[in-house]
Amino acid sequence: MSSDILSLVLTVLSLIIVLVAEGTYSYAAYWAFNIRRALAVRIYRNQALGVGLVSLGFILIFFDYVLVSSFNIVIFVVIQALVTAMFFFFIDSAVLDGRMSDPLLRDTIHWRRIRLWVWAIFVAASVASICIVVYYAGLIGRNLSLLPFWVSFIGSALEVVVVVIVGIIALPMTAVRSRDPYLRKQLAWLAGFVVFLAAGGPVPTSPTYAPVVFALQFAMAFCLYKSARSLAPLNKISKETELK
Amino acid sequence: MRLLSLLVSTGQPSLDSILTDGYPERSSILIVGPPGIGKEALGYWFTLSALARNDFCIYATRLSASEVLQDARAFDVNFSHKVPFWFANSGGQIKFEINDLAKISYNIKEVLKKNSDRKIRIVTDVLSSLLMLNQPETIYKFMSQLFEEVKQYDSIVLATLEEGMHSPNVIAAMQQLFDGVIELKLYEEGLKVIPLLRIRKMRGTPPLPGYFNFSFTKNGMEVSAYVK
Repeated sequence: MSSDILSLVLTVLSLIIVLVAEGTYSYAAYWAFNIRRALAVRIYRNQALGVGLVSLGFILIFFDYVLVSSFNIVIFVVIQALVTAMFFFFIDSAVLDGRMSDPLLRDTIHWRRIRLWVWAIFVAASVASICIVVYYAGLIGRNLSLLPFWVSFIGSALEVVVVVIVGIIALPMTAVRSRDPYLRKQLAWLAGFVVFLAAGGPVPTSPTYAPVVFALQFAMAFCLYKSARSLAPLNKISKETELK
Repeated sequence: MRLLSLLVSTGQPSLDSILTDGYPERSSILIVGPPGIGKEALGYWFTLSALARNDFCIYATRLSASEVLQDARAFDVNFSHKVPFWFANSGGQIKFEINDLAKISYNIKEVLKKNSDRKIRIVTDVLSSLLMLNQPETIYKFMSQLFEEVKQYDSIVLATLEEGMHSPNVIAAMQQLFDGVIELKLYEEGLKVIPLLRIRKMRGTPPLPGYFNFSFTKNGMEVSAYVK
């Protein structure tokens, strides 16, 4: 009986947390696109678009994980590749933006020269991941639990490795070189997002730990929201601002 | 009529209309705003309209000329028919050495002397970088001396400054040096973000207390009075 009550409490708690987390992701995406609309320069608009897409991507991942993945690993891997691409797009934009706010205009890791090659490697890795999973899904079925671990790992890891390597190398250098306090703040919140994302890795996937997992999701969503709000300085409209 | 002939179009009719026909001749104009809001676009349009009048235009930038041209094209500004005189990181007639103030000053003076018989327009995006790489006092002195030199000619200097990258004291001090200051900012109105423009000051123009909506369209910059 008491275990039933505990289970019910955990379920309700998980539901509340996940609704708040998904709502926060949506709010983060809203502000990112809102700020993007107000900006005029392509590099900065792309950066805002990147934050918005990452926020939407994690909403997509959640619904995919809860609703789809137990049925179709291929869709899961495709969505994961898409979300990773959105993250990579953000990193690409942030590094380009960082150069503009560096008074010496330094090109971090020669990014302007190598970015198209890295994008090509990323796309190739994503396609390879999807092909491997599709092949194995064709052999043993599309249920996530039936796939060998190494296939699942490769199915999600190849393109992630590219993003992680570029992110770990380029973003800290960008943050150090940039004199734009808003970009630095944005990257700091993004770092928080990544920390919480990584912290969710070791947490067991059993229902008992669901509130922890979803609480980490909320923390990630909050970091993305703050990152979106740091895209540009926003001033409040006061009575003084209104035209007399 | 005499007063109107001393004003030079900004390159955008909507902005001219709130400035009583444009920037004053022999003035220095500062455009302040956060990154990405479109400050440089005002410089592009000003340069384009000046080139159309056969004025001598200097574009001093820390970027390469090709980067500026690419950015200008995003605002439908095309310098292919007439090009400014480039002081640029690369691709220009003179290389812009951001760490060498003396050379910058010398090069500008030399170019001004060679074109003293023409109206001269100088547009630059280097101010923020110079302030970040040098002591503010050094740049105040540098800019003051530059303005003294430039204003001997029929000239206008238009510079952009990044908001947020300098302390408020530095921005206030720079605003003091310039004859005109146009401020672009993003405001939060409920759940919306709106870009607003304000004329902080403009020599020869009565004070404009209000804020103005602005946006960039295919027709250029559209400015209208802000009403909440």
